[in-house]
Amino acid sequence: MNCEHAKPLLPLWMDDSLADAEQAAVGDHVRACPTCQQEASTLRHALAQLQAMPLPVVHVEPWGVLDRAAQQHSRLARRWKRLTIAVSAVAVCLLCVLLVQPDVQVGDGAVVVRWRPAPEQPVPLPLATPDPEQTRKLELLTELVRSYAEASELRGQDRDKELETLRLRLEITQLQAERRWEDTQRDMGALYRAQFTRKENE
Amino acid sequence: MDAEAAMIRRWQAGDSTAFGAIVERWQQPIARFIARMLGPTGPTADLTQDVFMKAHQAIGRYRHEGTFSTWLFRIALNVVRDACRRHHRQPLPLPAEVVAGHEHAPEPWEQRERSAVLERVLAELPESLRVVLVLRLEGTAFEAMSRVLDIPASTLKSRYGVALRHVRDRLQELGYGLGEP
Repeated sequence: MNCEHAKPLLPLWMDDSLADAEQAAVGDHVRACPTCQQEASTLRHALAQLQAMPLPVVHVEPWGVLDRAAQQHSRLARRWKRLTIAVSAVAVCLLCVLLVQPDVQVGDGAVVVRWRPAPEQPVPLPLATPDPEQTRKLELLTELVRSYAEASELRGQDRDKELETLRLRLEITQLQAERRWEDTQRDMGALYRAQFTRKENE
Repeated sequence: MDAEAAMIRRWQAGDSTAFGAIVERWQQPIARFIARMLGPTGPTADLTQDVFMKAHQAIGRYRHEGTFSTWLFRIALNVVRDACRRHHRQPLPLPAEVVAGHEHAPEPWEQRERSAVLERVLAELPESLRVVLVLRLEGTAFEAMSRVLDIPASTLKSRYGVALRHVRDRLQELGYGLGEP
């Protein structure tokens, strides 16, 4: 072993932390090498100074620790309780939202919330392309209906004329009947007078 | 070790006297670890109490598989790291005046100055090197340290050598090397 190999191992050699064979080899080298002896001395001195460094003496009160632990435990328990309440509230809100299923729409700088979804607009049915055969039939049917309506109207007009004629005849008949009745009355009156006047004369 | 294991079992069973005995046994090593990691003006007493409080809260989960010291020093390291994170700073080199007014006076002036220099040199080390040196100063074996830090023991040995040589070099630069006053 030479200095190059021994020097990096000196802190561990001083610490007795090397494997047995390595520990012995470094020891043999150091005993024979004044440079490594000096290196080991400086390291040992530094280590001794670190070990001798004055440090604060602390006294921990076990009861104080237990008391702090208990306080922290209760703080944690309170925090968990609050967290549980908050989580439950959020869960209830989510449940309500799931049950109500509001309809939210965002647009034009406004947010619209509906309790129910917006009614769906009826979708206009696409216009079917007219079938020429059907169109022809439809036109024929329209023409038939129109002819029937015109015929019906003409029949109605004829019926109205007949009715008017009948009404006029009825009026004429009534007038004739009244006149006949008046004539009859007059004749009866004349007969009566003639009868009773003759009796009186007699 | 068996007595300590029995004490820990009593502590796990809720015996506060056993907890008191564990605190009594480990409070100084933990305080020394914290003081060396953060510097003596750091909140060593408060953080030591924090370590035992966290240990008390976690003792139910402790399994008697590794050594208790490994478990406890892991908690202490987490507390130190949390404290550093909380204060958004690494331990800073200490000004001499602060150490001169340190509560552990009275000490000879030279000793106070030497102490301030040592603290400054330790604080200059990156955390990855400082923690290895500090744990080794507490007598923690590299294998146990490996379990605390989750780093292979061979890496830790290498870091220990680098850290010790850095301390030696800085002490020499500052006039506190071997053969100097």
